[in-house]
Amino acid sequence: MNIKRKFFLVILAIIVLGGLLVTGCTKGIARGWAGGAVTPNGKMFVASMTGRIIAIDASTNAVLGTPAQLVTTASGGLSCLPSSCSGQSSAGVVIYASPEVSGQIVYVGGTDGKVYGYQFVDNSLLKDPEWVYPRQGTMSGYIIGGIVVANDSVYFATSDGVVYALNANGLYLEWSKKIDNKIWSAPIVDGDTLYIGSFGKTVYALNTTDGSEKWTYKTDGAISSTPVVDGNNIYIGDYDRYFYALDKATGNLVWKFPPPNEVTDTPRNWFWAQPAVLNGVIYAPCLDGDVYALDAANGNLVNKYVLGNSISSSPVVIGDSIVVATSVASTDPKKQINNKVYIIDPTDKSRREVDLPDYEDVNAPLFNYGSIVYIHTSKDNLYWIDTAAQDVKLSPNPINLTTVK
Amino acid sequence: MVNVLIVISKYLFNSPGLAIIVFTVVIRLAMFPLTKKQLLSSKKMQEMQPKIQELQKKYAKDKQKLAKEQAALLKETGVTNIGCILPMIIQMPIWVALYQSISRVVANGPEELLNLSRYLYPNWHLIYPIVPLNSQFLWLNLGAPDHLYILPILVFASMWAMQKMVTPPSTDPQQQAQGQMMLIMMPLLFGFMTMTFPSGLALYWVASNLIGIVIQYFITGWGGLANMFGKKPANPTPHSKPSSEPKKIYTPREIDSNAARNFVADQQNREKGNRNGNSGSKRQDS
Repeated sequence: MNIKRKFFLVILAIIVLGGLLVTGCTKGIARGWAGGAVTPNGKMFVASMTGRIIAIDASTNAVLGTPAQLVTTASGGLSCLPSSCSGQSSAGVVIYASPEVSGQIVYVGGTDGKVYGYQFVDNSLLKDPEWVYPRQGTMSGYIIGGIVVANDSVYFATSDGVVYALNANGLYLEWSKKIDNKIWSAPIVDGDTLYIGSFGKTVYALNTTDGSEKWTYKTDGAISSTPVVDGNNIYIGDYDRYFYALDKATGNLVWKFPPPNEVTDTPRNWFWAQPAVLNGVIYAPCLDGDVYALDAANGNLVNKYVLGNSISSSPVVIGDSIVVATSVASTDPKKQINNKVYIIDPTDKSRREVDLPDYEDVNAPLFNYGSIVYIHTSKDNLYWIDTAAQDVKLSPNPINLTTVK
Repeated sequence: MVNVLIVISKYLFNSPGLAIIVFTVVIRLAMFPLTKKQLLSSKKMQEMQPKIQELQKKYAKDKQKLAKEQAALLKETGVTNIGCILPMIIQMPIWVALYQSISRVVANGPEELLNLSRYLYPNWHLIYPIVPLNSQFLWLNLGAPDHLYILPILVFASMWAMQKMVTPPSTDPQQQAQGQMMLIMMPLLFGFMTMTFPSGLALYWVASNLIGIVIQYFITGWGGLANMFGKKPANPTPHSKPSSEPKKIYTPREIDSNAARNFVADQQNREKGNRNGNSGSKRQDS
């Protein structure tokens, strides 16, 4: 009986451990959610959740050549990468930063602490990268936010708070500067200034030539959202549930939403995705499921679009419309509603909706080629919609970026 | 629990590590009555083992009779299997919830942080500026495994010690071997898992085990751990005096249908003796 009881306890413990493993590890597994980049002549580059860079002809949606595969044996610093959970010795690099394309080179950075430059020739990506930074070893952090190519340089920040500038032609280090302890935000470059937010509750403006600091602005919460520049201001959302407009030359606060005495239209969660600007109005998507339309001049609430599910994917502007996609917000299955892609027309405040298949969240930034908007979902499917069509429909046969040959 | 953990960490120097330890202590203490009941039931069950084994030997060929005698024994002593298991089952959802809360709070990757945002209460304004929490605690990044492997060793050692305390000594070599295997297997399994889990969870396991050891000591004594330090096996409570009377060894001949009643009487006398502060108790042998 004693042995039986012990046996029972061991079985019970194994069941509990199994449950913990399932809920504790696989649920939090890092898979990435990169968007894509499209050239003016319709060549599109998307990063899959298996660490592949896939070239697609945007005019036909046909895959071009063989995908380039980024493979790592490093843990990359995240707690539950596929390699550490599955016990594999190597795995595809987890990519959150959308690829950037300049000329014939596609730049991509992942969680393996490296930046790659792949050459696109003869309608195909070369299998091996043309350039890699660093040549030996890895950077001390990994890239979550994104890469920007401007002024013949490649700019990005790593998770350990270092901002890098590499020469776009060869990926040689121009300068690097540790400005914070943790950065997940992508930089944005306007003229000779780079703007970026940090987990250290600070917005930084750096000189693009040498990384020297122009100004900083302290907020009350962490920042992972990418700022947007429009006119004389930069606009950025925060985990403190405020949305800030700062003077881009001085870093002085222009306005902050919600205003101090506002009680009815206060955001109920973090600002995670990058805002969009259209006709003097800032569209700030929030994880509470609302898009706050704010007057760029004074921060007054022009309108609030209630979408239900949370918005972690950065929207795109197509003509006079804003396109936004959602991901499931509620932890209660009864309160969960289908994810959708919304085409919002601010002129008459109307919106068209396209249902996404069940259990497909959209965290990756949306991107477009003309009126076609591409949606990379959590099942590694790439869907598209034609926003110019009267009856907007989701592409019936998405490209699965995991299985595509 | 997620929100409470975040608030606690705010008032503990913005340290989620301290919050995990304090929260684990609080939950452990809140569940003390259930733990006590479970440990006492387990101890009684252990004390009955020789009697049950003797019944098993005697009625090896008569399963019905064995079941009847065992049921009679359990009924008269008031010990049930459910008494051992039920408190543990009741505690289980709380442990799983605590475990999941910790794994959410120490979010390390973007997916985990995004997931955490779904659990934050919109009206608890003070939690928003402090999330994500500072994941550094001592040498640990609470969202990543302990690369120095100190926590896995601590998890293994503390879990082994806790199990050793409740593992009764056995004279049967086969049973002894099985006991030894189980004594090692579970701590090894947890220790191994800790090498890949976020160290925030490992910290919780270590804290929980250490509190468990203290609670167990005050309820059932050092148990099997006492032998490790050359001490005599523990008494029912660490504060009671040891029994000077040699342990009764039953022979098959002594076992008859009155076994259950005798065992109960024996137990009652022991308890009575302890209450009176006697060093031993009179035994009513059949």
